[in-house]
Amino acid sequence: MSIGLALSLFGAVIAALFGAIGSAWGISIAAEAAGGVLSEDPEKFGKVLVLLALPGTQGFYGFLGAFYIMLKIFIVGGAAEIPLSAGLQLLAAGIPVGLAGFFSAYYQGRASASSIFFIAKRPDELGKAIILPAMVETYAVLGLLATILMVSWIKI
Amino acid sequence: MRKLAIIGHQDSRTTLLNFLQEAGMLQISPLSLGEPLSDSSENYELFLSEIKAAITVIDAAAGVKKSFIESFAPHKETIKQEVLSQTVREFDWRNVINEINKVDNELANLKNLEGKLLADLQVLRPFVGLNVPLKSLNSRGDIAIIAGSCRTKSLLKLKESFAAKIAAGEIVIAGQTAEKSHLIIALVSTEAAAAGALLDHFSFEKIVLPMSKLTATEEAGQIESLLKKVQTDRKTFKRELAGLTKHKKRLTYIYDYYLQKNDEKSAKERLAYTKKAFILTGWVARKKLAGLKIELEKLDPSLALEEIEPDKGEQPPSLIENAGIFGPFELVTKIFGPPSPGDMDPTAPLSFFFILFFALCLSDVGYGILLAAAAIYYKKTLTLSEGGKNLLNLLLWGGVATIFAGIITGSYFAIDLNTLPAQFSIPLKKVQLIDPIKSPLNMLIISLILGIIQIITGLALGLYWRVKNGEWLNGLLDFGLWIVFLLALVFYGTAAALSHPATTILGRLSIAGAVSLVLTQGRHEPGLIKKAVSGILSLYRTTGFLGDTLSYSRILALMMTTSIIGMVINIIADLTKGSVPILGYLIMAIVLVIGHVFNMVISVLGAFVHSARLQLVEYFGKFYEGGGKLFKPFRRETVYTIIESK
Repeated sequence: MSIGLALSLFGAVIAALFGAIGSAWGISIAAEAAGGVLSEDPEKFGKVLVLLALPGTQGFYGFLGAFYIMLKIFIVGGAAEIPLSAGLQLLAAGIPVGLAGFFSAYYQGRASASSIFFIAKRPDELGKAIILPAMVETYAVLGLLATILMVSWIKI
Repeated sequence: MRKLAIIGHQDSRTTLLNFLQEAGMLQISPLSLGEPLSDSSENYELFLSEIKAAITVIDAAAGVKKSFIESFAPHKETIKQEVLSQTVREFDWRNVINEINKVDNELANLKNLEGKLLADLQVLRPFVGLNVPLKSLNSRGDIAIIAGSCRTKSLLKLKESFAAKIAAGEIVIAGQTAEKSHLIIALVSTEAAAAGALLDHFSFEKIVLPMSKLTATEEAGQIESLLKKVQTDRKTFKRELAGLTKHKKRLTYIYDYYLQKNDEKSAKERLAYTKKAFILTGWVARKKLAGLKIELEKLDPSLALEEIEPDKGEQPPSLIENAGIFGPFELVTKIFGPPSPGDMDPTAPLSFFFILFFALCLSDVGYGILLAAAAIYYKKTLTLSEGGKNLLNLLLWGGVATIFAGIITGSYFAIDLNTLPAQFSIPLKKVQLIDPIKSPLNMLIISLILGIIQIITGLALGLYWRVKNGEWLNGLLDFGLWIVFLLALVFYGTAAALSHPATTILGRLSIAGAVSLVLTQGRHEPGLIKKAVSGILSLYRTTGFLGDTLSYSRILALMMTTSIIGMVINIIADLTKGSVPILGYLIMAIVLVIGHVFNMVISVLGAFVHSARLQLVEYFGKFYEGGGKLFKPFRRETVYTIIESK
């Protein structure tokens, strides 16, 4: 395996790994809040689940970034012929979605937790409760876009 | 909205309130004058909480679980009002609730008892080997007896130091496992303190045995038989409780009945009274005022009706009313808040963009069909409140639009069109206008253009509304100028990138726009310098517009998330196909079904959230302020049923 290929795989690893860790962390924060709310009123499960799922998207964005890099190296380039410079570029391209996803998922988890408490007191305001954490997610989307655009512009 | 005052004799109050509650046209304003209400009606809130608690208990006993969709769109039974009042007359609900509570309490007591017995048994079990009455294992007179346990590992050391430090004593091992040893230690009570310190050192845990004439074995046997009885009793009571669930339906009727009574009571408290008469004031929609007046006169000719002016500083409630296809989109408007009086209702202007962005984010023919089918299915099978119906209608429209978006992006359950037989793939590819995975840049540009269109539309709506309200100058300067400037800037940028000859003129137009903004945007400030500074600073808003436009790039990102996750599911399913002979196809089918349903649910959530956000933040930010209070007429509110209107 060439070093270029290894480096580009490392880019995919950063994208998938950090996105996934961030989402797991964010969801666990929201889930702790959800557990408390559900112990009072288990009927809110459906609504709480929606809020709980919001910080989960970063994991998908990271995975998507990783998949996009893999599409590039295995289908477009042919596995053995990734030059060192292209490998480094793909490594760099994996960083935006990985790190933006990691941090935004953590903070979105906190926002979701607070929205879950909001729903506990005002179950009719689900719309507003969903929008607040969704504001945080914007920046994970931007990270994903940066990765996608970089990968599609890198020439192998 | 019009404000109506109704004055009448106290005798006609109940008829009037019942009529208003059924009509549901008037929002009663609280009045704080006149004599206090001397009415001593029952404590409906207490009733309601009792009934609710009972329903929760029998639901739990019967294992009733709501489906995921029902927690958003709860199923309700349609019923006549008479059935509710008839149930209240005929059904002895207090007795049933007492019964439920009694059984529930019994169950709780038995559960506690069971826990206590199990704990006692736990204590006794290690000592069943000792064939002496338990009583004799407690200290008496000058002999101290200590029962307890220590770690088996440290038993030997404990024995050694016991023998060394205590002059007269004996350790008996009652029971032993690899982990723990249970001991009975007998010694002269004068040495008890020294022994205590020694035992603490070995982290010995003391156990107090019951003062019983029986041996441990006999005692444990008694507890076990008691435990069995408790467990059978619990089963019996549980069955009894499950039997009581047959009353649930009637309890829900009673609940809804008293909910209405409670609303009537709080309505009564909003009126103002003299000794004999009452005054009621409230808001009614302008269109419905005349009709309501006629019906009230028919109801009771003695009522005095008068249209009145609102109090100083009183804000009329806002009524959002969108008939037909725009109705479901009120859901999105309500997330932000209803318009304040005199502001426009943004529901119709957002509907098109909302559904467009939703469809583009999802953009798969398969998911569109699934979503529309699911919405139709739940619309047919569930009886729903207004909000639930709106949500399902919204998803139905979204599903239909998604089918078209999927055709344009060539996505059919994310299947690679090249793998299909030619007679399918060729026509499908012909109608495919763009492939977001192969050319994300083109789709990004389309997303941003859609963003620019929506932002300009928002500004245009602001302009329209100002002009309609006669604020020509503010409309043209605060909205019109920005439209010209932003459009000129966008076209200038495009022309410059393509080196089109129109670049120069568009550049000049942009500069002219900027200059006129600098000249006009500070017009509200006092003094020339402040006007100039605030005019120049207003250009900074351009970066805000830039940020807003970039926000629409999320359309591309969500579109790609849906299709790439779908692709991955297909790839994994393809891998499992050959993994095991024959069974592999079954695994493949399971992976495909679960995978795509999961992807669809996650993507629908994402599409809804992000499409709504684009409306609320980027779009509303241009022309809509909200800040109204929703019109809440006095009407029949129910939780479990829907009252059939006459």
